[in-house]
Amino acid sequence: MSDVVLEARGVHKTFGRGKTHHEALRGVDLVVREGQSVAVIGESGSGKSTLTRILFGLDCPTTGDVLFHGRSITGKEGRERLLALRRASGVVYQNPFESLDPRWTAAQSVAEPLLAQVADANIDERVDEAFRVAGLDAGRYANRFPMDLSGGQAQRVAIARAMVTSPQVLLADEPMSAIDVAARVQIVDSLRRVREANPDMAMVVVSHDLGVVQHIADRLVVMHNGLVVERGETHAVLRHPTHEYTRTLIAAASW
Amino acid sequence: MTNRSRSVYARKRSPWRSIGIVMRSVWARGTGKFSLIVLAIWLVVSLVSLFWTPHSLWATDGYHVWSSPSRAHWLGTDGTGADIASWLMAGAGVDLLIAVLTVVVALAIGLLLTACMVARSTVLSRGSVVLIDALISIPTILVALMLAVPFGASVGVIVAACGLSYGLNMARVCRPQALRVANSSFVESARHSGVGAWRVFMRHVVPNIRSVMMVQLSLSAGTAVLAEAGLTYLGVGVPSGVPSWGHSLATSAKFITVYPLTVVWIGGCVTIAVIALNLLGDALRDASDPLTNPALRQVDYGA
Amino acid sequence: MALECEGLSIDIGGTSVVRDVSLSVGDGERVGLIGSSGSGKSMIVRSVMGLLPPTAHVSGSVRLHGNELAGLDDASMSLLRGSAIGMVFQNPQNALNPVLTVAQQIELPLRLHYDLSGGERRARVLRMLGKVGLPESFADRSVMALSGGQQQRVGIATALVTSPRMIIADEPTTALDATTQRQIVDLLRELVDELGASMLFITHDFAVLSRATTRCYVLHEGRIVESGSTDGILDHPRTTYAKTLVEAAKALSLHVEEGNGDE
Repeated sequence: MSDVVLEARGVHKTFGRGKTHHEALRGVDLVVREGQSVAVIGESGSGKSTLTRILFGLDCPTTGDVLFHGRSITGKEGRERLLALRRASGVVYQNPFESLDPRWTAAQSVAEPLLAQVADANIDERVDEAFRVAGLDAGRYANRFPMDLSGGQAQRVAIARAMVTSPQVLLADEPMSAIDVAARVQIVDSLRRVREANPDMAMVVVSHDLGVVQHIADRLVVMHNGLVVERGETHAVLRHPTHEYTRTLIAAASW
Repeated sequence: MTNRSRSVYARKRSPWRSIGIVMRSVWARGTGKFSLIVLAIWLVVSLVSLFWTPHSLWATDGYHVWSSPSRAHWLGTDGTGADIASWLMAGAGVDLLIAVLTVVVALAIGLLLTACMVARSTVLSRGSVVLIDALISIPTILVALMLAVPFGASVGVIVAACGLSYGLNMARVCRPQALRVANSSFVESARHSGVGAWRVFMRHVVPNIRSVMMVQLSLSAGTAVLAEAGLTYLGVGVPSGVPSWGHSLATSAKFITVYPLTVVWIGGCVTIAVIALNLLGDALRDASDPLTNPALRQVDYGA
Repeated sequence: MALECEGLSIDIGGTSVVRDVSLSVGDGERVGLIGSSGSGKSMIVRSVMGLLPPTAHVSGSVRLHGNELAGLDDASMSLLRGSAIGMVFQNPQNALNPVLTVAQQIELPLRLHYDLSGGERRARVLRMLGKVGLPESFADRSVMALSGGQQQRVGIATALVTSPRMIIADEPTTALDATTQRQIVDLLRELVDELGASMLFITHDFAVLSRATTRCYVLHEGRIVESGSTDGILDHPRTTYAKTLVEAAKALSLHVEEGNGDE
């Protein structure tokens, strides 16, 4: 078994207080190993986004713990570890037109995380390389603004931006929902190339659509109402779903 | 830094080139052309007035008070027999200075407050909102009056009072857009990958609120000219003896029913200047934003 | 013919977005219009609804039940919208008015186009709620308190409450979860057939299209590049663009050998 990179232990998350409080996560465990691609699936409101945001230190759990390479990232003592996780992770968001600054060129957006982390180095080559891995021709798209890109192209720029620092873990939060079906195939392709180029990198994909994740996930974690209802190797879960909700999801993705 | 000159990241045009593109786009619009011409004339007249005016400002002529426009006095003379054109020219310089300085002060105050309002610290963000709401309720004139008591009437008082008021106003108008940017995914991911808060503010927030700022600042410049006229008329603006449009207005307004022409000259100057500043703001907003000006989005690899 | 476009071309600010498009929707027929974003789909919808921006220049003809729509003034178009044509929008959250209750939202077209008493309107609204599968207790809730799928059901109820003969569904499932998408498509299909109405269904997803329509047009860069029966195109797409769309839809659909839930 390869090393555990990220781990969530008994994570609870409550939004609001008193009468209007809402329990988004009700005790969730999750393990992500080196080189593994884990898909967290469920419908909106299932808690899948909340869980993964907590896993990547973008949000804090109400109770429970998150470990990066075996050490906690929560609380004051975890501060340093949290910063380490941030440097070692990349995030791809749902809508590329919201996750790229509309007034920056593609190249500026891709270079930004790198410039924040390395002082000098060979920025050019690494930006070019990130474009290439994401499946975009840097010469053609580097100097375009998001508004002059299609949804699929913009999302690949966002992938290049997340990958430019060669992260150990990549979070893709609904990377295809806001994009045309024809372009979704390109994003699937792009994410696969990214994995091939970085075989040790762990990836967490959030989605409501099994049709999309079947191509990019080794493992499935099915969430429903703030709980994990089923988990296992992708093909095994798809062939022999044990939970009723998983069957609904499978039916929804088989047109 | 040299190795970045050929980098993808740095394949950016120089600021001078960008300014050139923006100015050409402003010039391409009728309103832009008008405001650029007016501002150019204003600037030239101001500079010229430093060295030369048709008549000395202090040359009074008791035999020719309130005279009509003539070859000797282009715009006529005022109640002391001084040349109106000379005073307007000299006043143009002072008012240009006030407009520019007000914009600088308002920009500094506005940016600082906007930065506070979008800060992650709740003390800063909430505190600055309360502070702005409290201060914005004080009229500019009152601020000027309060400042004029200890410091006396001066250009500095006008600039400070206007700069503060318009800076507060700018921050308040910019707040929604600035907050939207600060809460956006691209800022979250930039912060996540270690980009500092100040850098995020300067590189993400400011460019995305620049359009709003442009319009606000140009309005401020125009309003500063109007405020100078008003404050000087009240006696808390430019001290007497210093030429300014407000001064010219104050000396001639009392006789508006008898000698209306003198007020028309100064009124025309102020009105045209303010219109030009406001129109420039609109033209600049569209011309300087890559989202609305395709020329700024075109790839050019520089020289 | 319920809807007929002939030689429809649309220019916006000098750029041609729709070029010489001819399409027809027969009475009681469900027809699809498929293409990627930027292909001009929504411009065609807007021209039928009379909602194009003022800078748009339109040529060609659009006929609804034989009556020419092109050149109609805004007042006459307003009469048609909501009574003769029902529209289901992509994003129910934007299309519904957040300050209205579900019942107020649904009865809006009735108020505008029909002279009914409050009781009659209420009865119609409740009947409509039942048809779209929402309990009557939802009538007085705020639309903002509903989930995306429920909101889209309210959107469908609003579009169908006046029993229009023509329904235009503009990407009604794009903003929804995979599990909700299918329910919404099936609901629309059933209700349209029950009304005996015609439907023009706009989407970028062949999987959705195959379930919603019998015939379709493939739109690429403002032109119709292929048309025919939906199943026929799914099996044998002729143009490369249609092939891309079909292959994408097939690749992103689940094919589990021993799975269940597959029809």
